[in-house]
Amino acid sequence: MRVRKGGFLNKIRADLGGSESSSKPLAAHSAIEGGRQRLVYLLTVDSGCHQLPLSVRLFVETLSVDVLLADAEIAEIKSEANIPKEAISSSYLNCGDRSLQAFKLQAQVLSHPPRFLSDSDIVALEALLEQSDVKPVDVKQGDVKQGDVKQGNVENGALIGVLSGACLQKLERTGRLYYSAKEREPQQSSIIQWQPPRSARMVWKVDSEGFQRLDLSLGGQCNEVQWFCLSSEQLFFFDSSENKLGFIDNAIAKEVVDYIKDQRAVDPNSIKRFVRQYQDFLHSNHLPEPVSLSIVQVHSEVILPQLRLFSGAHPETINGVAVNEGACLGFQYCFDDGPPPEFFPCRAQGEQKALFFNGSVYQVHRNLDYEAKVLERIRQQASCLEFVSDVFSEGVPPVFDFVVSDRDSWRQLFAEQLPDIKASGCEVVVENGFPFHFVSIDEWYGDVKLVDAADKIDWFDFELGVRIDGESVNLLPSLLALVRRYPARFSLSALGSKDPDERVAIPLSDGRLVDLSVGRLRNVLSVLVELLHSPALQNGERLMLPAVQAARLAQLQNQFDEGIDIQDESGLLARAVEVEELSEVECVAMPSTVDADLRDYQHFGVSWMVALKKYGMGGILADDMGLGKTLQTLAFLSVEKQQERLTSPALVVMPTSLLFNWQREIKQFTSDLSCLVYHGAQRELLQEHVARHDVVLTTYGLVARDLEFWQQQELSHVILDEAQNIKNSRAKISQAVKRIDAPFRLCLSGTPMENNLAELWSLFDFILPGFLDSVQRFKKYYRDPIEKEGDSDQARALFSRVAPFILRRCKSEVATELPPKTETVIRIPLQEQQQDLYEGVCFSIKQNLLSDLQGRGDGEGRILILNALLTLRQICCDPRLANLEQYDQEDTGQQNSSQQKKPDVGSAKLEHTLSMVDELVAEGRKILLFSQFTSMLSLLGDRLDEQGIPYVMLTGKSRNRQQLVEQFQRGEVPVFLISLKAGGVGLNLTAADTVIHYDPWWNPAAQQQATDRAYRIGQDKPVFVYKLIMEDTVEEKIYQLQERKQLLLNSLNSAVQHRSEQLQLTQQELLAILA
Amino acid sequence: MKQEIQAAVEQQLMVVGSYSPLEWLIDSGSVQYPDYVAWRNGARDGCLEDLVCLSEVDLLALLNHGAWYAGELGLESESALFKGWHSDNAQRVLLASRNETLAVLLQQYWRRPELEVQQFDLFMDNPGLVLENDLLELLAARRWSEAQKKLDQLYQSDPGNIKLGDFDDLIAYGLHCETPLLRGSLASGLSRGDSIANDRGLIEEELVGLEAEVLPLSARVLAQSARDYLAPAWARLGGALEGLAFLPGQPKLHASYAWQQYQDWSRVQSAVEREESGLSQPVLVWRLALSYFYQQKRGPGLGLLCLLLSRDEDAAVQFFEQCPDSRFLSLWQRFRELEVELPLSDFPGWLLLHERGVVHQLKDFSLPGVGLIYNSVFSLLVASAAGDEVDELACRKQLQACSPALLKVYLQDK
Repeated sequence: MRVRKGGFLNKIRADLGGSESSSKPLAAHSAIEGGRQRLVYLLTVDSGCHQLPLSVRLFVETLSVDVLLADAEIAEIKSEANIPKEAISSSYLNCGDRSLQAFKLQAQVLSHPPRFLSDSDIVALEALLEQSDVKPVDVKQGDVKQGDVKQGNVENGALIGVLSGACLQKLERTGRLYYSAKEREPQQSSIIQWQPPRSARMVWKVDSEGFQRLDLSLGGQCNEVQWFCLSSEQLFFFDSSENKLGFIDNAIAKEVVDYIKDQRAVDPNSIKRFVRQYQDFLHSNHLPEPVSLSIVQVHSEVILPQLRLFSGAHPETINGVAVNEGACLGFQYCFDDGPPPEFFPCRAQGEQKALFFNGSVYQVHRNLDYEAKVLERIRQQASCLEFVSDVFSEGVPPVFDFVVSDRDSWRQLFAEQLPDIKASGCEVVVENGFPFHFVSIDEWYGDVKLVDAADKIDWFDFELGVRIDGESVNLLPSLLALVRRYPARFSLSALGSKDPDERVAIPLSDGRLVDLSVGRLRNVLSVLVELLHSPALQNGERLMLPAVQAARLAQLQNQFDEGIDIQDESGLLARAVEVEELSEVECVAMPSTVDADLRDYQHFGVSWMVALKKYGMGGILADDMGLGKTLQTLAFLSVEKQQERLTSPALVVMPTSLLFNWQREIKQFTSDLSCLVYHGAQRELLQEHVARHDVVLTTYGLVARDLEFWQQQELSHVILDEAQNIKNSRAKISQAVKRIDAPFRLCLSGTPMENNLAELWSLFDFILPGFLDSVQRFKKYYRDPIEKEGDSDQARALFSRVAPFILRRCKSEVATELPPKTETVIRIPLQEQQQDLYEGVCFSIKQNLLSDLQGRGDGEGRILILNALLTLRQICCDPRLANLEQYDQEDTGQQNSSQQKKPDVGSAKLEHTLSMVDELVAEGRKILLFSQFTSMLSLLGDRLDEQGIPYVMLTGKSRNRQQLVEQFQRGEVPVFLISLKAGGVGLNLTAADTVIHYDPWWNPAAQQQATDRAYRIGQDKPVFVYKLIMEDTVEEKIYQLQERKQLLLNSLNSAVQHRSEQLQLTQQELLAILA
Repeated sequence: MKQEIQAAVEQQLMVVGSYSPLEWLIDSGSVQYPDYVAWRNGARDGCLEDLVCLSEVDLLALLNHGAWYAGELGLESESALFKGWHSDNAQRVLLASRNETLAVLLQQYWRRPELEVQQFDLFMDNPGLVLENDLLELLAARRWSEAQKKLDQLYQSDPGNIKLGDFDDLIAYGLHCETPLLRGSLASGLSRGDSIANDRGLIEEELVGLEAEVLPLSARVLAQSARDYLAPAWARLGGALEGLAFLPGQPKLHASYAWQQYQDWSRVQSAVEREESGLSQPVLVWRLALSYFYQQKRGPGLGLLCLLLSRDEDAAVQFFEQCPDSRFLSLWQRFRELEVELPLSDFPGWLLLHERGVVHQLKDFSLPGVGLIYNSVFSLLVASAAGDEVDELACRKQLQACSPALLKVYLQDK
């Protein structure tokens, strides 16, 4: 019947190697990418019942390559151990990590068979299709129509029916016919083998009450578990203990088969009568007679009452209410001689019961008076239990003697009433599967141990549990199961929205319920956040964490007001408690060597760093720009020096542009700290001096190049300024700084996280490696849930974990401590090419001026000088602003003309400004950025557009001045670019809290006036003013001149304050700038 | 044309259960299938509309009419983008038309509303269906290795899928078609005669396998995409058959047959024209006629039908019923239902008298042995068109001699 035999497509498939059919062994798998597949047949039967048809289910088994390798290894091991091959194949399905998917049998499949069907499968499937009485198992018998299977109307692939022996033989020949005692457990199945025919003999089997029934038995090899198919054309047996299947070869008369199928029983009291009545039947069929049994009367001396709590197989309807659970009272009758103890339910009918034991039938007599007294006592002791006879009115007698109205009553019964019942001598048995088995907590406990594994140094594992009746029960697996099963219900936010006193039952693996308050559960879960998403506990029991996360132990301990018994051999808990209290850091006295009045928040910052260092932790100081991160760090290093902990240098890594500021601040505020700048091409010469200095400054660019040196150098601290430079954990710089060892690591950054949580992870990977786990696990547990799914629980959980190690103060938070206006001068070095250009033009200007000034008047000379200075100032701002045509190659000493070089020369100030603006906008600042050069504002505007930062620009040409101002004041844009001339008059920009002067103005009063656009009466926020000065350039000299003028201004009385002549620069002053 | 498109909608609906304007364009010869393949493979630039030999206005009107008619029939439309087939332009969306309305119409296909259509859902929780649809696309695009990978995924996610074996067969056949059909039988030491016989045997085996097994399978699994899936198979057969002489006992073992299935009408024409005695074989004449019709050369197509009739009336009557030219079919019907029945041999003349417009197309078209009646009517119509009364009179006499009934028809219509 095989449609494909010899077919064109079949041949093509075979030629291409796609066919798995004829050339492969029976149990071969067909290959698919990443694994292999085969069809397996699962035979299920209700053992012992002769009349139920068989059920065959078809599955496609998919094995991954890994599993196959593992199997091969298993096979090899078994082969070496001389384990027979059958044992390997019979355990094949039990190997676990493989998937079984139902396969629908449809006739169409046979004409174009999938790869995993071998020839033997086709034969077997054809045989199945030909069995007209094989039906789908999942359809009600009445609904099944002939041919349903052939038309593919089978939902789950299971076929049920009276399989013929011939069909079974074909299934067996595939080598993949398995047997499973239970229909739903394909994994617990074993391979079936066909056996030669056997003879069966007739026997009378005696049941537990002495009744006898006619049955078949395999002569001489009688096994307990065996069945016989009596419904097909040829009888066959299946020995489920050995998975053997075969025909029965002796002929058995149909009337005998029918008698066996009827399962008729012979009463022990009427055996003689039966033999008389069926004498002909027995003799004509050569059947043995049932045996005569002696009958003994017994009375029990010991009766043990037992209250059994259980779930019924089906709901009971009692007074219109469906009840699934209840209790039954019964009595255990024990006998000195005779049968083993026998149990009688209190509702059992009759005063006596027959028991077959040791070849005799015992008639047991009950003590009904005693049973009635016990019942009455229990009804009085357990008010929660409602006796069913009181509520039951009519119909079939109920399964339960007692029912309980609701879940809370069960809770009350277990907590308050069952102890009394037990005390009065009644055994209480709670059956498996009973859903309301509440247990009371005696005490909480924890157990902390350091992990003893080579790859987990500095890890600990942790168990959290409860003690119930003296038994320690680990709650972690149960909590994990619950959270996984009901993620929405047990999320922190869901629990937070409930009444904390509400009760919640935590099911243990054995079905018992631990009764907890919602508040307690939430508190525990908020600390053990891994439970919310963790793939598994260590060995299924314990939560394993790196030691740097020991702070969680302290957090956990705090959740238990009544106390928790934590066994902690490692001492981690004590340390964790101290770390937990970091927020209450001890105030550290500032040494006199710190030449600055630290504000309170800065003082706290220093103390926080000292505390971190004490506990061996690192941290991130993430204050807003301008709040003095550098100063706090230097003060901290001074404290360290005073406490004699600065025994080796502290290495500070920063962007090149900050080297000067650090040097200046060290000099200005901490005169006791010796400082070495490890920078420049000749820096190797400085190596021998490094150890002699307190603070060594270097840059991100160099640290990767000098990594080998820094790894060999003993360092007390590694501090990263602008630590967002290591936000990309894969970057070379990030990897380099993380390899520099020091007892204390600190990050300084106003924006520890700009784009995503991976940046935060990278910073923590530097300060506390392992604290936030591996980058992959961090992504899985925190990044994805928070960034992709907006999981606020996880966000909160992450925040609480990192909070002790990040100190961040916004300007608004410390506003009361801040002066109304804070001015900061930022000095920026020229970029290398910018520097070359600047020096070349400067040289050229000086040359030209010497000749040009001769014979000219003061005013005319002034103009010439100012023009020359203008060019230099423009180069400082951005070389693109300057007209360099007059300064040719010869003059500038450049290889190419300046004009030609200009487009390639970048602006260090522009880059620095954009980085600042980016950070300030992230902080939520409102910025006024002033420049005298409108073309500079345009360049800035272009770059802000690129960065996606909204801004408005006001220049002398702007006609919509009021509209721009309102836009800024309303907060629609965070940045306002203003040319000084435009901004000088009539603007009121009190929305701003930050002013950046991109370039210094000759007239400090004009600059001051611009600053006052933001800082004027009505301003309710502290204002930060940043003046950007290019180091070692005309700008620096102009600034110094400004300072002197300011002093002069300050000394003048208000009447003459604004007289311009007082502020006008003389030619000498101007020439001095060029010097 | 509007009638034609309505007929096409109905025809497609009957055969594949859905209507696709693109199918109609290809089936009607408005788009040459080889051009379409080149476009899908990225070998031809521009948009699909550029391949259509109709004006934009006409095309728009026709497709709108087809869409209206499909809607009237209760069909529901879906839209499918055209993506590249070749590995170089795979997944690239190809432009159907620069006219947005036309692009929408060209990308539409219409099918009967089904109550329980398997639904793609937003959550993609039916990966089997998604994989199956991807597979169908890949098979139509002839991207076998990707289809194989996709099928492996389908095996894993849905091993009970009833079409797994179908897909295996289709992929296997697709890969098979990438191997040369003829592996140099001459080189294997066979004599030329044996080699040709051997080649014929191989080709015949392939052709039978293709028509008996692959065709029904692909039609069942791929529906309208079956043509795209099968195109390489027909091209492979066509290539192998090139040069093999036509044998009347094996009419399908000729390149013109394979190219006809491929719908490469210029190759059909070449294959027949290359055959020395091509116009003496009714089946080749029929294929040649089809190639002219599909290349929008109606005059020669009609002329060849006339020739076909003169070669073999029985065969001609059968072939005429399959003619793609609806006007011809209608005339043929009228001729068969004439109150005063005319002999079948009069049909070529009668046809010319009712299709006078094509006479000028046939002036330079040679139809050797087409018959006296055809020639008489043809000459008469040429003389009449030229206004040459003397010549016309002579032609009338000639026609009167061979078919007075046709002369009557001529005079009535004049």
